Amino acid sequence: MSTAFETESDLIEAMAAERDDAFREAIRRYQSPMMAVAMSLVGDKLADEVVQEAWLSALRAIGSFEQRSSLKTWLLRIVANEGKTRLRRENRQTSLDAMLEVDPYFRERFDSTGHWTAAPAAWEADTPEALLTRDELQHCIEQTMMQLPGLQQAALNLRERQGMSMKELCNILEVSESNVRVLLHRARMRVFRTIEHFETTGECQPGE
Amino acid sequence: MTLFNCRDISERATDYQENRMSWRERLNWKLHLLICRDCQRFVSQFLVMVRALQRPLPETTEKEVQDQLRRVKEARS
Ligand SMILES: [Zn+2]
Repeated sequence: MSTAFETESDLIEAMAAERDDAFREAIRRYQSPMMAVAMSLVGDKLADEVVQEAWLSALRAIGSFEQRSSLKTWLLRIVANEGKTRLRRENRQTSLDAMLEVDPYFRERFDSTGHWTAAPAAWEADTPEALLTRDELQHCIEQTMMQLPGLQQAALNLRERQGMSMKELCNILEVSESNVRVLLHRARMRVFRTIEHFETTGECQPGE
Repeated sequence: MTLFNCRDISERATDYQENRMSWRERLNWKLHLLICRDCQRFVSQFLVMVRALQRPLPETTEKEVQDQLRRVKEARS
């Protein structure tokens, strides 16, 4: 733990002054969250490059950062932007609308009156700990998350693993609050589907 | 106010978990859960799942810090 930067403003100032110890501290604090967002959006292979670009952009712009959000939120927004630009350039972007749609699988889980066509299966793992202690299931959940559309994956990561608020998610991903809620919900429902499938068949079916 | 059906419950589970419902919607939600065992099970499992997903990211390792710092400095020199 560094004690050199008591407040975030101290760190930001030192970064603007191009101090090495400030760069090091910022990287220590934010590299892991930045990599997580980049991997969600562009995948493992390109994440390094996206994060590198994001650091360079951030260090160029740090002098004019007005601190209307936390430094972390500001950095993650830059990563998300770099990631989206990258996807656009490579024609790999998925439309937001497509990412907001109901999974066709769940459309069929309800009849015309809105009742379950097949009741939700009871899970053997009925506590968070029980879900996490089964390696095979854990692995299957991770695979499912890796196959989610980029913005869904990023929303899930920011909310569950980084504890960012819904407002921060909007800011970082540059989507409206109602869309963030839907992205997050679609991601969670896809994971739910994977767990349910695993619980009933013992098999992992992480993709479509 | 139209009553929630099971599909509504499945669609609104995140709004419920994130506390993004009006008191009317919350009441509606509770009324449905009172009478529907399938949704009781769905909701309790959904909430277990969300808690299971809430694990902190790993800390950045010293090696990762050094690698990134070196790359940044190289690009800026
Ligand atoms: Zn129901």
